[in-house]
Amino acid sequence: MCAIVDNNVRHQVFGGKDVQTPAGEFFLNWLDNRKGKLVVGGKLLAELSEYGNFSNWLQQALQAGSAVNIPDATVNAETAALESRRICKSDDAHVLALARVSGARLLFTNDQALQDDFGNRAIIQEPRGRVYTTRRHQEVSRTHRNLLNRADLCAV
Amino acid sequence: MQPNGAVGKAAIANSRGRRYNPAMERITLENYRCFREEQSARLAPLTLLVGENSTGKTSFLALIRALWDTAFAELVPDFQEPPYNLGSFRDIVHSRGGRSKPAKTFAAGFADTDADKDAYSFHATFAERAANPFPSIRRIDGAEAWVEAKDLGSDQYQVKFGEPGGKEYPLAEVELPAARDKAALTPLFWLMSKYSDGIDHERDAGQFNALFSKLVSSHYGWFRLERPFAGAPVRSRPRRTYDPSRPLSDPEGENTPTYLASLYHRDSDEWQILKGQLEKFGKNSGLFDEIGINAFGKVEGTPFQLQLRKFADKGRRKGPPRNLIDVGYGVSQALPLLTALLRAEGPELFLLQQPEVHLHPRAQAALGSLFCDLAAQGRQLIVETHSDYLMDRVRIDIRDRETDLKPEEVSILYFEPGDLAVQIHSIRLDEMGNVLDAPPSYRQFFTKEIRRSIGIGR
Repeated sequence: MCAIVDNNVRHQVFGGKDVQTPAGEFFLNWLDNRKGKLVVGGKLLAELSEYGNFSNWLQQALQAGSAVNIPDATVNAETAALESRRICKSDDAHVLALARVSGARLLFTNDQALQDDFGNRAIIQEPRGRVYTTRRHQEVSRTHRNLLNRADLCAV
Repeated sequence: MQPNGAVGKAAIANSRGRRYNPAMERITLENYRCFREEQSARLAPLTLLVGENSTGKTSFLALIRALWDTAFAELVPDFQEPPYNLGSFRDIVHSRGGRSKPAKTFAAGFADTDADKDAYSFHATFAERAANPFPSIRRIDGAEAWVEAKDLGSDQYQVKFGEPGGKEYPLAEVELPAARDKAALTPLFWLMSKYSDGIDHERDAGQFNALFSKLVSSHYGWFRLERPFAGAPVRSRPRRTYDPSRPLSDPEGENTPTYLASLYHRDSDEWQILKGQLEKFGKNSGLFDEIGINAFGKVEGTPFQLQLRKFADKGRRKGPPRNLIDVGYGVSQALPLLTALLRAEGPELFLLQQPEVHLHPRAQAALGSLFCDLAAQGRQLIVETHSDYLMDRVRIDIRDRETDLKPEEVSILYFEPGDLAVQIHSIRLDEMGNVLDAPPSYRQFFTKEIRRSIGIGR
C-alpha cells in the first residue's frame, strides 16, 4: 500500500513529541508496523530530506522496505509532462507526478489545492486518489482508520 | 550408462559473458532444527541471511554443505564437522518439546537450472542411524527423468526411476558392493546403471539411456566444482612469526598465513595478483594499503612474518611495515576470509558466517561491495550477517550501478522467529535498491530504535 507525505505535514509524521500529531503518528505506525509503504523521489525527496528526522527515518525505512525510492529522472520527466498540460491547480506537480509514476494513491497533505488535484480523475485515476488530512482533526478519526485499511491505495 | 563418462557442464559463458556455473537456486527443508513445516527459500548469486540470534541461519548454512556432500561428494554428511557442530540426529531433527515426540526424519533439497535452463533438483530424507543423520532416501529430478534410491539397510537399496508424470520403471533391488567406505554413499547413478545393465531389449535400453543421459549430465556438471568453503565466525589468532605448516583449508583460517607464504615463494605472478586484490580491498576498507611477507629464508618452508603498511598523504608517504599481530584485530580476522574469496583457484560456493566481525563500519560496507563483485563474476556467496553497513552497501551498489550484479541476483532471506518454529521469508531488491516483499516484522526493531533515537512518537 503506497502513500506520499507532502512536505507541509512532514513534521506531523516525523516530528518530535512536541510537533507530531496523533493522526501523524498513526500514519507513521502504519508505515513502520503494517503494510504501508512511503514513496519518495524527485523534488519531494529533496524537500523532505531537509528535515533531519525524516532523513534518519528514511535510511532505516529503505532498508526495512517501508519506503520506496523512485528514480529522480522518472519523476522529473513526469513532472515536466504534467506541467506542460496545465491542468494542475496547485504548484505541486512534482507530488502528483510521483503518484502517477509510483502508483501511490494515498496522499497525506493539508494543502487544499493539492487535495483537489489529487482527486481530479484527469490527473490521478485507476484507482482514484485518496487524501489523508489533518485540516479538520489532528486526532485519529474513523476516516483516518478507514483510509489506512483500504486495499486500493496502489495502482500496481 | 557410465556416469564417469558423462559430459559435465563445462564452464561456458552465459548471455552476459560470465562464467556459467551450476548454482543452488532454491533450498527446501522440513523438520530440520527450528524449521518445522516444509518451506523453501530462494538462493541467488549473493544471498544474505538475516534475523535475530538463534533463528537457524547457521543451521541453514550447515544444511547446504550437508546437501552438497550428500549429492556430489556422495558422503554421509557430517553435521559436526567444523565450523558447524549441530550435534546428533536428535539435536538436528525438529522437536516441539513438551509431550510432542521429535520427528522421525527430516528432509531437505535444492534446485538448480542447468546450462540448458532445464530444471534439476536433488532431495534427501534423513533418518537416524547410529545416533547420526543418514540419507535414507535420495532423489534427483530432471526435466525428462528422475531417479530415487531408498536405503533398506543390510546393504540393500531399492531403486526407482521414471519420467515426470509418466512411466515409472519397475522397482529394482540392488545389492551394494561388499567393501565400501562406511562414510561413502553408493552413487545413485551406479545403482541405476545396475538396472540398465539388466535391460536386454535393445530398444528399451536405447530409450532408457536417452532419457537419463541429460539427468546424469546435469548432475555431474557439479563434480568439477570444489567443495564449498565454509567460513567460521571467529578466525584464528594472529602470531608474530609463523612456522610453515601444511596449507590445508580450515574454516578458521589457520592455514591462511602459510598459504600466502607458500604462494609468495612458489608463484610470484599469482602472489602479485592476490596481493593486488588484497590491497585493493585493504584500501577500500581502510584496513591497510600494502601487504607483504617477511621471509627468514629464500625457500618455501622457512619461518616468516606477515606485514602490513598504511600510507599517508594520498600514498606519497609510506608508514613502517607492521607485523600482523601489531595491527588491529580486525585485519587478522578478515584476512583468512579475504584470501579464501580472492585466491584464483578455489570453490565456487562460499558459506560465510558473520564475515563482518571485528570490522569497522567502513570495512563492513567494503565487504558488501566485494561480495557484489565476486557474485557478479560467477561465484555464489551465502552470507549470514548482522551488519547494517554490509546490507546497505549491497543495496546502494545495486542502485548506483556500482556493481555488475543485478537486483534479481541478490536474495535476502529473513529468518522470522515464531511459535517454536522459524519461517524463512525471501526478500528481493529492485533496480533502485528498494526492499520488496519484506514482512512487517523485518527490521521492526531497527525502525523502533531509530524512532526512539530521533524522538518520534509519544
